Amino acid sequence: MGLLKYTARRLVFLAFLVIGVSLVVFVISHSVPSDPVLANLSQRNIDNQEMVDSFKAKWGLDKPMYTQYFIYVGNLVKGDMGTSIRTQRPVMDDLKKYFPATIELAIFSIIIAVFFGMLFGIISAIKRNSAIDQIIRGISVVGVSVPSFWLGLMFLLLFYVNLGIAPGPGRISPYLAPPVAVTNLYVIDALLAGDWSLAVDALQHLLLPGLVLGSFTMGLITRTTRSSLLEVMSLDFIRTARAKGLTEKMIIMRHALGNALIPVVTVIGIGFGNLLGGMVLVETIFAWPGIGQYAYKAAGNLDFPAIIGVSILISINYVVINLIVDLLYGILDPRVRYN
Amino acid sequence: MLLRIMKNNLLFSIGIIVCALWILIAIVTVLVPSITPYSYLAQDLANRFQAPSSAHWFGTDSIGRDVFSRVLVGSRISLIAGLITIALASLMGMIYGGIAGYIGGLTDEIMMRISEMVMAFPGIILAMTIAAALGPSLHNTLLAMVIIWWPNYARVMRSMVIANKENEYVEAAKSLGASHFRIFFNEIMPNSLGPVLVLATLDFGNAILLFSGLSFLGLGSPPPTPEWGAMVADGVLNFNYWWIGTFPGLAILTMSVGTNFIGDSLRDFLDPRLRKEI
Amino acid sequence: MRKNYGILLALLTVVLLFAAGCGGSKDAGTKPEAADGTKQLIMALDPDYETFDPGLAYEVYALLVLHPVYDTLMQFEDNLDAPIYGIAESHELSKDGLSYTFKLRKGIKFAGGNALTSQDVKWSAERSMNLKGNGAFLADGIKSIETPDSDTVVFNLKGQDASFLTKLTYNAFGVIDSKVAMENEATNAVDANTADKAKLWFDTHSAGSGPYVIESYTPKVEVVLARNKNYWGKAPYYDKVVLKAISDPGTQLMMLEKGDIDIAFNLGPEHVKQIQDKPGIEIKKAQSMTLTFLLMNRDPKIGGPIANPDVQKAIRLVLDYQGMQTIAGEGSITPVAPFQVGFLGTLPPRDPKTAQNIEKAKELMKKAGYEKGFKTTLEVATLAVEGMDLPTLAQKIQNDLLQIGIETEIKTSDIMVALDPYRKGTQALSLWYWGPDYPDPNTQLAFLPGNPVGLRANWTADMNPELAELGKKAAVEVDKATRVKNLEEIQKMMDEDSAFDVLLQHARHYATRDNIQGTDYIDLYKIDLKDVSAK
Repeated sequence: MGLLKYTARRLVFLAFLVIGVSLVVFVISHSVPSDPVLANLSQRNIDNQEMVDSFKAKWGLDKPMYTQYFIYVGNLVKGDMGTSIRTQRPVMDDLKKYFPATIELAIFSIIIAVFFGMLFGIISAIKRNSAIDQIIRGISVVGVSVPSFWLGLMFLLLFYVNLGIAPGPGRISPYLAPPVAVTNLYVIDALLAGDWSLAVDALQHLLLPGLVLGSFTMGLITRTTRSSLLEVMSLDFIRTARAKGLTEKMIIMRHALGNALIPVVTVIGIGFGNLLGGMVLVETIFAWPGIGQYAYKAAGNLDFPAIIGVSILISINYVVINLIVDLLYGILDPRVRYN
Repeated sequence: MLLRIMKNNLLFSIGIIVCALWILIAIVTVLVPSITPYSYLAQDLANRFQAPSSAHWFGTDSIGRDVFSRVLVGSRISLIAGLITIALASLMGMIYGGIAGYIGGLTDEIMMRISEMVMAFPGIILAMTIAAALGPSLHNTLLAMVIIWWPNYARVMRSMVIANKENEYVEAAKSLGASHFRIFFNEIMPNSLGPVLVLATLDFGNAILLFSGLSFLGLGSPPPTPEWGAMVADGVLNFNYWWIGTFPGLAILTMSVGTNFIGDSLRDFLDPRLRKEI
Repeated sequence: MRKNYGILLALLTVVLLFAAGCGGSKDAGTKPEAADGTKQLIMALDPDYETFDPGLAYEVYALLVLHPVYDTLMQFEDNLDAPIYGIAESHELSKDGLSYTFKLRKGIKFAGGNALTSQDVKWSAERSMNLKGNGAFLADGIKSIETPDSDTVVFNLKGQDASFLTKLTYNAFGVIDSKVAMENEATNAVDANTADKAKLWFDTHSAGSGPYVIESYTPKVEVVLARNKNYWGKAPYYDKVVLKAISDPGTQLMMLEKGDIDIAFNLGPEHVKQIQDKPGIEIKKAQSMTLTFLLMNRDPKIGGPIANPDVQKAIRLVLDYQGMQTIAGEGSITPVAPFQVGFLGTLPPRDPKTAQNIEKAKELMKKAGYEKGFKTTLEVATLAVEGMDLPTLAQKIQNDLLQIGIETEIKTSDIMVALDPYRKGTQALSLWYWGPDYPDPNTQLAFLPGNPVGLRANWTADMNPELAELGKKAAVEVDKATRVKNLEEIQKMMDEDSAFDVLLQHARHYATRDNIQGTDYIDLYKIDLKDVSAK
């Protein structure tokens, strides 16, 4: 199957995905014993039938489920995800506001994860079965095993509270004003505005949550880099290179690494997908005003327009990232057939 | 066999020892509850927020309970949660993936797209929504975990079934007039089980991690159950008393590192074709 | 070898970033002044507001922001004893007690320059009523509003209401510049609930006549208030007030110590202890009006043994209030009935040292026929009340109840899931919190038998007709001395027979830099921002 056809098929799947995800949340929302009305009216007003009815009418909660769903899908096609019951703002606006914070953190942590993951993986492969190899493998397993919410707490306790060498929660220091919004990625916006110290401040705030969030992906990348390097190095052309008298380091850098990178790309994709899911915990600990916290609040309040919005956003991301990875895979390795 | 592997692999040995220790602790604290230094429920308001000492190895929490005793007793919940999730998810995934792979064609296509949809769904958000809607309890949290966990097994099972479907012994059984049901359960299933079981071992640590994360968000058993994730959340609430959150977190870490050491080493013994599949 | 250098370089960058981190936060001794010399107040809090539309906002911290932005006819200063005039100059009450006539101060302008007239007062109140937001009930008693001339506004009520002036202090009656609002798609029409589209505009803009205007609002990050140059009263000290959303008390504390912020508003008692001796910091403590109470259902079909009044009394006697006050922190007290200390006519709180009487509780259990105890469920919402984790308190109660043989299983749920059975009155035993709807003891009459909260425990008027009757009298009484007498009598009766056990009236702990003043706590506004200044 050709590349174009494959991509087209994935995009069709995407449409089904959006329908599926929204339908699932809709069904859950209408089969639960609790009522979003209660979450959003005050203690006094839930006794007032007139208030309850008016609230329901306002949010369309008085119509049968299928009608509500069709209205929702109709609006969705027009790019309208409805209004969040909790924040009373259009869900689309909320997502636009919170998503950049999440993306900035995700990108930063992926960079950390890829850098250290590949570095460790290469060292581990070169020194295979040595003490260093064992230590690095140990670290990578700890990386995938450590509960992120706990690691975040430990980092804050140690680096922020006790040592005072890292900034606290949040995206920038509290006495600074956010940069003029262009991309809503604070580091980039600060640089665009030419505010160097603000950019450094924003970067510093990314460090701890980035490390915590990236630890899982780093572990995965280390493991994959190591094993795929070892696999490539047992192949014929490497033996030839060795026979030519090249040093082990040169063999890895010049010949093996490029070939070994292919599976690593997949892992980076998987890691990126996981990151968005892991955001909820890390953002809670680091008071990061991103999509994870938004989702957490939305779920707790049964704010279904918001839950559906976040779910659609994250699942689309997941599929798109996987698609990109698949396509990259094909470019890196021409032998791949799409099916 | 086990001993031979352990001899050559340090990490694997550590994993086995750590896991054996936790299982032992879980069993002993169930059988002999008085073995913990204090009752895990005993409150002592005069001694709240005590730092670790010889009287309280891991200190005390906001209502003066012994953190050490609570960490020990908490082991059983994590182990059971991991076990149940993996068992149910793999069972469900095997049946689903097996059917999809065996029937093939359009049914397979639709079934796999559905499972892919579940995989794309942000699991933790689905779990939070389910738990918020039904009320947080161990029962509901495990239900949510199984719902988001099975597709992995379905995928692996399906590819194994497809590979085995073409085998000679299946053809032989067919020519002998065996029913689909018989072929599926007697010939294909047993031969496809191996990789699923390996995946299950590998997944155990992840299941414990996800469970503790949900419990951290307040979605596990109600208090005063000593769930490790909830205890870390307690530590976040009482930020200044580092011991409240540190030790339960270390417990989660050791248990999940232990299972991952085992899983990781097992993976290396696998034949490379399988490794890719998992 | 070239690639090795690349790796080294990257490593170095990471190390440098860390090092920069050290430098960056260590030398932050005091809050950096804004470059252009504007005087700026920075307050950190864990806010709950979702909107700054005065017609919709009803959250705990809504008035912190809206009070300095929207003027009201009546307002509070220093304490909650009695409201004083805001933009009203005088008022008259008709003989039948049903009609309030207010004269407005002359010459008040909105921040945008328009003159404030009685029309704006009427329009704003009507908009709030028709938006049917959470605060609209405050206007329930209003029959009509008239504006005989541009300085006079008349409120006609459906019935007498001793707390009407107090209700007028809320943002639901905040006066909006109706011209500006209508330009931004606001309406006071009957269908404002669906027709009014101004909510989003109000979140980031304002149209009031108070000392400040809303300059910007970034949800979860900050609200910035700027000086209203057209303000009619005494100009506030600060040019700008920044309210930072910092949910974690530990972080607030850290930032206060470093001088990054001027006020850390959500501290627990444990946090305050840590900074007791730190220089440059002033610790503040105040009585909050928030209560935590135990609901015990009176319907035997729901409550089972809990429904027995003797069992309910035994529970009141067996609980260790001193221990609970330890958990809730210094300054928390235990009122005898659901009436807060600080309100008109409230009795002195229980003495926690003598309130517990286990022997008598056991006797009562025996009398009720439950000498051996029983099993039940204790329902609790997962949230913190004034910094105290509610499920933690539930575990303390669980422990105490064991002494009279009551075994409880705790059932936690999210607040909105818990609200449903609470409203329907189907919880046998549950732990709840309550903040007054408006600062007047009449709001607490809701706890009486036959009234809304009483009915959540299925405590009907016929179970204690005398108490219910007295409650009805107290609700409409306007004479102060008689009010006090009625309220005291109600509390004494509820100490003897009640479906509720008030466990705690909480304390509020916060801290400021010691070079600022005017930060005293007032429950309605939390802090009156216009009064804050440098020493």
